[in-house]
Amino acid sequence: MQTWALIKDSFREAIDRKLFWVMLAISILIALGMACFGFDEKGISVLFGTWQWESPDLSVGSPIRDAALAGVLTHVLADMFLGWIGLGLALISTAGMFPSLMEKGTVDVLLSKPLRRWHLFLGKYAGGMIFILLQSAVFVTLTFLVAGVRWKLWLWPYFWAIPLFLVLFSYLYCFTVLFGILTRNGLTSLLLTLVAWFVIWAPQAAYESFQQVPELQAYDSWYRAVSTTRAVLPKTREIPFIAGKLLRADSPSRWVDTEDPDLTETERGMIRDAREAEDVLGDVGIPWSIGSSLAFEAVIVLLAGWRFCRRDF
Amino acid sequence: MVEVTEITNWAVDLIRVHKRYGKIHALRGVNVQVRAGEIFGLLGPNGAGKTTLVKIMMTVVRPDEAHGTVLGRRLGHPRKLARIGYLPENHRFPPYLTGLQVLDYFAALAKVPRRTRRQRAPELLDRVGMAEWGDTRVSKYSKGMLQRLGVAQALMNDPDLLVLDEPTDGLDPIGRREVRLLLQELRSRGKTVFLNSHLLSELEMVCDRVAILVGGYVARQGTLSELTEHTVEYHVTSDGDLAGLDSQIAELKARRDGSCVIVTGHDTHRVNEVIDLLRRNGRMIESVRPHRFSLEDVLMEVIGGGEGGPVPIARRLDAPR
Repeated sequence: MQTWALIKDSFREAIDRKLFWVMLAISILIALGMACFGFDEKGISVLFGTWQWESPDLSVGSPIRDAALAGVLTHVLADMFLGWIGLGLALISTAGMFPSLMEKGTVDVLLSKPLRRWHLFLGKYAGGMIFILLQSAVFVTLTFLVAGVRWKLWLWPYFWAIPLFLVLFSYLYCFTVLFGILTRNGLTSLLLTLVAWFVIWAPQAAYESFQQVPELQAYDSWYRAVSTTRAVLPKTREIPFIAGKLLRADSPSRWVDTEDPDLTETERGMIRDAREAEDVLGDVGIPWSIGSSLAFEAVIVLLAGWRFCRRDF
Repeated sequence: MVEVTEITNWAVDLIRVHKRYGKIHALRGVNVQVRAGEIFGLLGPNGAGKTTLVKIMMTVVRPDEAHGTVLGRRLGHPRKLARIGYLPENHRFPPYLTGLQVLDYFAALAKVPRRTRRQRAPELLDRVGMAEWGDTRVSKYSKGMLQRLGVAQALMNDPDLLVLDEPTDGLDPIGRREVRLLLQELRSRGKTVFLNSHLLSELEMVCDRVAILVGGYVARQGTLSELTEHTVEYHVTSDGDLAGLDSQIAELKARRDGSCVIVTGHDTHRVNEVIDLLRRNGRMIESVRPHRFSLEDVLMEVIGGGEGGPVPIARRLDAPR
């Protein structure tokens, strides 16, 4: 009863914010934009038949079309939009939740109830996560349905984007909550979360450089420091590779045919190097990647919860 | 540190409560006892520690040291909170909720069953004069309306102990009277009310007992008559100039203020001696009026370090039978 009340309140708080409706509107706009393109046995139509382009490669059933559209769903919608824009909007939406919970006059009434502080903390934490889960579910479901009806592409693995996005969001949300409790200010917690995001991103980017340029691994101490740091911190950059695996979508480098006579040798070499690097980086052990990241996240959540439970209001 | 103490018959039994905020020693060994079924008032100047003490009772703030019980359970025990209703000063409710949703939300957190919440919420809104505003968002409420809603919120779990911090803040005179009547009704039903208020006149109207908190310790504690009994005065007003009778008035342990002779204390024998003195000297008696100190006068006396000065630690009272 208490947990449900907390989650319901978090949700009500979230939908009261204009940003919720902005995100919903964006989801609908994107779905409508997708719906403007239709595929049939002949090719592609734009704006519901205003323009028609006949092409066997773009017709329903063409493996080239299927791979490209799967790539659009995975790498454009799930990775770029959901993974970047959606993530940013989600953090902005939830940054103020704990600071507003801890405002004088608000927290007093809550703490006077027969509710352990850990319960209150976890209930509000879960409320934020569930709100983002619903937002992402709406986006993914809308775009899935449009892809199925208009593009004739029923990519059921696309629904993996929901839990993956939630996991990615949780890697950073824990920092938002921690900083929100420490600073009691939504904007400050958001800015500090961005700093934390950079701190998480940097060793991952460095590690990828070591993989893409193996000669750099000769700098053994640096390589070990980067590897160790990366192993401990949440692996946000591996989520797109995991998405690619689960959604069975080709990476962008494979959209290009290296046999194309218009390509230069240099361009072919770059594409081959990119594919090799992607093979190495994409060889992600999903349990280890997500498990170790969630373990680090658990430490941050425990720290945030401990601080929340110990402070006077 | 909170220690377990024996169960007593006090609704609230706080012993040696200490709290520091850095260098500020907010509470310096406070002892406060509240009998079950009474209305108890806590008063004191700003910064005395009243709100801190209330927050310690409600587990919002952790004491550095505290012993005692609230409703028979050790201080800090979360389960007791299900039987307490609390309205903090300057409370805030989620602005995106309606009045009914606020009551439902906080009652759910207080583990009030759903059916009871649905029944009780509109009843309480009606009780506090807010029946027409139940479906309106809290963001549209005035300060007085928020206060009324706050009182209703504190009553949703039908508490045995009601803790109210400035409950009439923002209310018009009609609202204040309604709250007073409500508190008296609760007392008649055996509920205990713990009031923290700056409005001393309101405390005088409803409280059975009060405690005066000054500088982090209880300076006085007791019933209103116990606190004011030493401050009774009789004002004997006469006509004409009384300056020539100053020495005789002083012999009777009274003092003169213009044409009024003031006799302090309950001793009516001395009052009659003053009347006799004035009559012997040809003065007409215009009036004899008893004047009892108000709670405000007592508070000023305590803060100002009047007769006897503030007592560092009030003695813990014997448990009620």
